[in-house]
Amino acid sequence: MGLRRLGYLPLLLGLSLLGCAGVGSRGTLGPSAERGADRRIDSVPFFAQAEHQCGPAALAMALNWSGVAVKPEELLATVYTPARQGSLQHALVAATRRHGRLAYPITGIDPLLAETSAGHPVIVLQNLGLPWFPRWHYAVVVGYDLPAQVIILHTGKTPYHPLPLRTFMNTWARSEYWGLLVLPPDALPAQAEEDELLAALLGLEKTGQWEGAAKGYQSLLRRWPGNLTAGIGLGNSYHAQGRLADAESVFRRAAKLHPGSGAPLNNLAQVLWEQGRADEALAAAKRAVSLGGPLVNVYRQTLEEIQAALSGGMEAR
Amino acid sequence: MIRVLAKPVSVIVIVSLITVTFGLSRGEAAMVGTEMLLRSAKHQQAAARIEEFLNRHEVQAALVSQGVDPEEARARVGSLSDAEVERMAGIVDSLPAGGDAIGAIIGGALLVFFVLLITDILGLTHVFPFVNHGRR
Repeated sequence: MGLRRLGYLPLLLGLSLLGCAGVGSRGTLGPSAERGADRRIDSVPFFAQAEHQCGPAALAMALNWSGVAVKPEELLATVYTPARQGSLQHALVAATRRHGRLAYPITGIDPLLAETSAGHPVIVLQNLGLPWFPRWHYAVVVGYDLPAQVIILHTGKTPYHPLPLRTFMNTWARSEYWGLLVLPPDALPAQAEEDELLAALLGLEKTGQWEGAAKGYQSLLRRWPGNLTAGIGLGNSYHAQGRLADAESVFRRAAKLHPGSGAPLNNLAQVLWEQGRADEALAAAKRAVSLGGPLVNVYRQTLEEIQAALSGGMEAR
Repeated sequence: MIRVLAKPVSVIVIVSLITVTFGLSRGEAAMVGTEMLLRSAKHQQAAARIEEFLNRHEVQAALVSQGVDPEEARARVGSLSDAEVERMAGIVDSLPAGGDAIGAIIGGALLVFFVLLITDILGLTHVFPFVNHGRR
């Protein structure tokens, strides 16, 4: 994260933009606090890819490592795009979530080595060809050896393929160093960032993976207890599973922790209402409206609905 | 073709979306969604919702035009956040699709072969498995 990284990446980018002219290997990477000198993850099963199907193969390897037993053939329908004879990055992300796993994007060599060092395999997108003759390819980084300057890949039909770091960086640069972690939902990336993690968990929510999302939000809150969005996300994930009492206690805690925000109170009102506790719901909804904020229209709607239901003689259960 | 069709389809979609949005607002749970909270600082809610819907529709249509089953396309797009869909909208055709590994260039021009052979040897590319990448 220091000057080293800032100085190194532009150099590589510059080199790759230069194309054939004057390619050198001036920058070499060494071990640091975040990574040891070498690492090989032995727990990633290898699947040889069928033609054009490095996407399903790479994803299957990462998913199996994360505890989902699935074969590349079973993933074909969910990641492959026939007319392109390949798999789009977003399809891998979506398929990861559909299997209840956290899809966490990473960019750049330092995060890549840090995650690998922590035992997390990383799916990478390389262009093995040239910009005008692309050979887009997914592989799984399962290790590295810095003294030997190689990256170790499960790629194509070869497990544990040692690729010179320089070649790897040249081919990886063309995807703007795109990498993807596939993790159990409650696991944290070695270099987890709050906003990135929230975005990844939101993806699980969008997919309807409420149980995984709840576990992930819990992990996030253990690391960053003051995160309001994660508090709302956790409560919403419980609510979606019908765990109203759990949702209630989460929203109460968030309301106490964020006394200036109406969002936890609004959702608390809704959960109380659904539990038939009309008076408490009404009080919470009123407090939410009184706090205002950009979502005040939502709070007003909640309040009006509760009031309308009460005055309409619709007794809460 | 898609672009030509997209406009009239979009209008229909907007109208039905608005109907659905307002139809749902009566009696539905008024929870603050996680995504709503995330973007509440940035956008006007209604505008963001329509924009999001159009983006999703466009990306989905692009996937279908590339041979993905319509139901499957919907599921894929449905697993993405608004921000992710927004980044894809309009560029699905040019996004890289990883597929190749074993670099048999069938019918490729001789020039391409030699250029890639040389770049492979230089370590710029990695198309041919038979090229032994020397130490630096």
